[in-house]
Amino acid sequence: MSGLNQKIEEIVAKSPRSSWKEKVEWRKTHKDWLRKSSDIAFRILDALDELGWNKAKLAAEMGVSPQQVSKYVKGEENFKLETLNKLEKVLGIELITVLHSDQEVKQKNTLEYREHEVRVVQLKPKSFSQYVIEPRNSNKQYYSTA
Amino acid sequence: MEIVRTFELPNTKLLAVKYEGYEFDALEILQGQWGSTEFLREFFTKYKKDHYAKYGSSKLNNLVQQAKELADDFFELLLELAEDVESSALVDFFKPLDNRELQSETYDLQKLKGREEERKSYLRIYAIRYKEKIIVTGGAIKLTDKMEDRPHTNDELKKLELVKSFLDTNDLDVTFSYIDVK
Repeated sequence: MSGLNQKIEEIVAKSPRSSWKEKVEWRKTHKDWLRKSSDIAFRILDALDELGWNKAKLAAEMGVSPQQVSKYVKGEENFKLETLNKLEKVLGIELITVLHSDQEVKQKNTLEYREHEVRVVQLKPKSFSQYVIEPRNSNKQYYSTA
Repeated sequence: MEIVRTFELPNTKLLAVKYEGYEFDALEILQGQWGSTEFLREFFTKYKKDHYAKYGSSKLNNLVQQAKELADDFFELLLELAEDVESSALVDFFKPLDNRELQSETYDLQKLKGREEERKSYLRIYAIRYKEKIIVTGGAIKLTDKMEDRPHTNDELKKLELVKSFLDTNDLDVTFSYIDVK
């Protein structure tokens, strides 16, 4: 074994092992919900920008620690419904919507829609009151009925 | 500076540098950054023109998700390669940093880059190879041709130099191959 190789082996033997491997395996195991968590994190960050808030302000409004908010926006938080509900109220946004069998999500790339905005539309509405989510503006031309 | 292993001994094929004053090693830092929606959103907001120039138009949310998926795949592949103690696949995966070099040529203490080739990923993991060992010094999202073009990629060059110097001083008999980046 060469001098340098031996030196590297000695340095490595003394050092603690990296936790990188476990983190890779953890992300692989939880891949499905991590994607959703990331989407939520992205929406929270968008909302903070829109409101002109920083993470500390959100933490204060939520009554949680700044570290907790940092976890929210990292996109690795397994959110409780209670937390999502509170975030929705504090930020004034919709983060989670349960679709019923007669509803679908449509996305339109128009100026009236914010980028990535999706709206839930009723497939066969009997009356306007059945729409679950109102559009952000009063323009109803984007309602789609089958 | 410390060099930490990613697997239990005796597997020391994939190592990572832990810099002075840092809580995490280079691979853990990369994992933290490339797994973070906040980090990626900020990064692609800052460098959206670089991304556009190389890859065309893309929505920010899609960019973030894509980068996360690429990073997960990249790390999983790296893990798989490093897990196989017998094979030389890990070393083969890393290519010489200087594109002018023939990829079949390898040198001890060569500065290398690992790249997820199939989807032309912009993710880079930088490392120094010494015989069958890969020592990860850092990594970056590289959206420009030259590493010197942007501060965050230029920093990675400095890290490579730093680690190379650190290793040099420990064995003066070793012959290095030093490669420029164009």
